[in-house]
Amino acid sequence: MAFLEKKGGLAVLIAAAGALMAIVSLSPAPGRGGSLLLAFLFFVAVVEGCIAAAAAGATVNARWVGSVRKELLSVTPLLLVASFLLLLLIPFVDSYPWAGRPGIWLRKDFFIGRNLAFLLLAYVTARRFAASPADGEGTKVRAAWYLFVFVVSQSLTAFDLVMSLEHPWVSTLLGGYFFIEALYGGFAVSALLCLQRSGTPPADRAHGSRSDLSDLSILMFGFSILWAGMFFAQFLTIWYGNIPEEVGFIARRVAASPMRELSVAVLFLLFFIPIPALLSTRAKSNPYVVSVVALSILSGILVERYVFLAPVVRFSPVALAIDFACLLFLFVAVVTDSRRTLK
Amino acid sequence: MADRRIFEDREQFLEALRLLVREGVPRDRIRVFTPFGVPEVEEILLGKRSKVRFFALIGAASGTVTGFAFTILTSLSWPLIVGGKPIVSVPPFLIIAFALTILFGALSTFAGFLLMSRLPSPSGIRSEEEYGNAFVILVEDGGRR
Repeated sequence: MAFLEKKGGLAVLIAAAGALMAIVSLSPAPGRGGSLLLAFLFFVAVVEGCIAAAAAGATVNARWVGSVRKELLSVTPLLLVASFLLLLLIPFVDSYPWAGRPGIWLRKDFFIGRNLAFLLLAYVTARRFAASPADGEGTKVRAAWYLFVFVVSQSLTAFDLVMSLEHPWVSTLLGGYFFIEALYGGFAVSALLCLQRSGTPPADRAHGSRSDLSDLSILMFGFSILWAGMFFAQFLTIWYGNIPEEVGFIARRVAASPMRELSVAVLFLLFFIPIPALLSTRAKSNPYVVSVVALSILSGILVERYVFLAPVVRFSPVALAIDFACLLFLFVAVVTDSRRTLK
Repeated sequence: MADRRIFEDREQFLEALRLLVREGVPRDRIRVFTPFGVPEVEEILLGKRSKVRFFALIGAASGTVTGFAFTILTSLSWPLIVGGKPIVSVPPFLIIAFALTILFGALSTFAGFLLMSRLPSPSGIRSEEEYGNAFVILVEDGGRR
């Protein structure tokens, strides 16, 4: 990471990672587009979720935001990387079931255009929010603007990039499900950053006051229930309605191994592990428990994105490994760089 | 005669409370009055955790059991096939079980709170002193309680 200390080092790293992913994803081998889509979906949820967590905290004067605000907002430039990745997905859009058919909403140029516009808008609003001082005037307004764009951007990601893969299956709840999940992931990353930054509570936190980690644990606990509520609302509607294209969506994912086990794993990773683990007050401030829960949540989001795509999209293990390695490296690099500038 | 300390600021009040506990004043001799709920007070003053949580757990668990028993037994005693679903269909029953979990848990917690506080007693519910928006710490004499 010494390279980061040089002027423009981070920009060079971002450009190099982008170029590598472009070479990999634009090569003609099968499964490259699907791998990029999976990486994009997970990456954009985590990045937008991190900034949304900081923005949501800022709107309610949350105490915990202070300790990780800088790191959470340092990922803002990665929204430009996400926009670039979306452009790399243009050739893959031809494999969507609606491609080539006449339509207004599901038309390739409009499809890419609106998603790109909201990703760039998310970058602009996040940058404006990041530029304002933590307790400055207008910060809450900027945070609210980002949250609004975040909700639209994540909803579009869900409706366009995921739901339209199974056209004509329609779910009006999927957008909300996605942005709640992204925010849930944002809190998980916040907890990990909080743990990594301050292994021990700051000295000014006297006996009897809750730590930032406890606050984040309460948020993760609450969001696990909210996530389960969203999941169950969707599941019950599909189960009761029994409409072939809706039931088909679930049937393809639970009928055979290994998708069935992965689907069950999502339930455990996002609900059945976080709930009992964070139930007690003591566990909420235990670094090991919180780390396991945060990693469980992030793994759950990743596995769920895979479960959404796997029945209809092909993957290339090599491309998947390269894409995820590049994105993880970039994420760690921007957060490390933000910490370096903090010193 | 109790020692009374009145604060306008929440943080000063909490700091004074922490100081008292650090100085070794027994927690059961300290009483506080706050204009709104201050969760830190519980964390500072509670030496051991309240037993009310067991009332919540038992109430919630009995709510879950009642919810499932109620829906399953009524469906079995009057078996009607609705929408081609099985007579005993867990997904919709889960909603009733969840609602009764919350209801029984809340009622049981409230009942446990009344029982553990030796309520209902009108004199115990309403304080004779009124401090408006101030945060107050009362340190009672050793022999008073």
